[in-house]
Amino acid sequence: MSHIHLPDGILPVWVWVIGWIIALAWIFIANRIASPKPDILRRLPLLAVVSAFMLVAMSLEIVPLAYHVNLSVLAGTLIGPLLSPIAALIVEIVLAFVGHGGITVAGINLVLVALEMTLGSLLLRALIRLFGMKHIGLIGGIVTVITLAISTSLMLGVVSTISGSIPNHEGGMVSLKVFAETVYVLGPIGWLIEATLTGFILRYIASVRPSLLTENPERKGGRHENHDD
Amino acid sequence: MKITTIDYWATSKDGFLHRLSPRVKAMGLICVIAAVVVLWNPVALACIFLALILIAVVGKLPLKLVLSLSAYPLIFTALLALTTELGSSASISIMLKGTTAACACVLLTLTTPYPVIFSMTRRVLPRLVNDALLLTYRTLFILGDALGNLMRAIHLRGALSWRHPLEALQTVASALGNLMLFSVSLAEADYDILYMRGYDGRIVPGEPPASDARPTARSGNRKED
Repeated sequence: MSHIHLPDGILPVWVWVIGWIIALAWIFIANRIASPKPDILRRLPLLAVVSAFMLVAMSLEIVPLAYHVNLSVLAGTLIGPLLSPIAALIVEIVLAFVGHGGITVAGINLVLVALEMTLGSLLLRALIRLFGMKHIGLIGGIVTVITLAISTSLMLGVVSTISGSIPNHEGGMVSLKVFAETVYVLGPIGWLIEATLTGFILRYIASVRPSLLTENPERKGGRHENHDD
Repeated sequence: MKITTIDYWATSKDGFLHRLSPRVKAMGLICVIAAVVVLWNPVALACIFLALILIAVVGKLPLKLVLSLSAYPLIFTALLALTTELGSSASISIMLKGTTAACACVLLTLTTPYPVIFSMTRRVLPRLVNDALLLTYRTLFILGDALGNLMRAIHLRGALSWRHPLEALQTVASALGNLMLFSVSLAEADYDILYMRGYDGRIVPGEPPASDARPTARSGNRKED
């Protein structure tokens, strides 16, 4: 419920066009910074495996709730804010092609997921610097809830634009009050599941390979840092 | 999501949709999406959806899989229709819009191998993104198998009881944590492979031969290659 990938044909054209403009601008900037050699060689495999990790994690469905986890905070922490929009683009392209979220709205879906990854990554690393690894599970859980609450609210903001474009059966404006209330009642169940899972995973990683959470993500992904220098 | 099943259908079957040019299928997808964006008439949308289902039946595609994948947008659209005072016509329209667009995407992916789709996206996406897409596609199967094995081991040991949800989540989290560490070591191995094969900032996908649908790193400027 926390991650509703918007489908095609629902939102007004101007909304998804703006979504694509923001997404493409973000991708363009990230690509310009990430592409120069030799960094691209180091970043490419990490980008690919983290995107694949997110997609594989999404395939784990929580059956009675028709809900799946994204692990976007975890993925964002692993690759850092710079590569997050590119990973989100890859995930959204693959998802759109399997009917999981639309193609026209992939820009908006991308911005929402990339925002979760970027915000989650920045918040988590800042809190790790402040409090250390002692309460990493709790910190990870709180950060996940915060980022999911923000992205869900943004999603509702985007969806609210349809109220002006679809007339209701009386010819008036569509009210999204009940829809928003339903999302805010069902959403937190999903946030809690994802937060608990993220907290447990972070605790596991902190005990097995803590350097993944403390190192600069830009330096991960290759063992031979000076090959092309 | 059933990405491995979709890949199996795209690469192993040979119906008339599989033989159709990927460009024609991509054009068809664009037309369907344009119609979905423009149309609000439920009858017209239902006709397009039924036409797509008919194409799937004629193309001998698995109808259950097509319908289950196409139905995902219903979670969002049905919730929207039930909680707003849209009226029956607009409610049916928004449900059909999402489902029809998803069905068109699914028909494309069930009949076109991903490397071929990515060879089309190469023209519009930056190199880094397209190369990462190809590597992601390859990695998906490795990680999917690894997660499948982990989950099977967990099930065999009876460690996933939903009567103890917190313990079940902890077990799944350990499996995913393990998978994440495996992913990082996989990225390191991929880095070594790309370096050794002389990756020069471009992976060139092409029409895959039937025996090998995986992309390869282009020979670069290193003599070892």
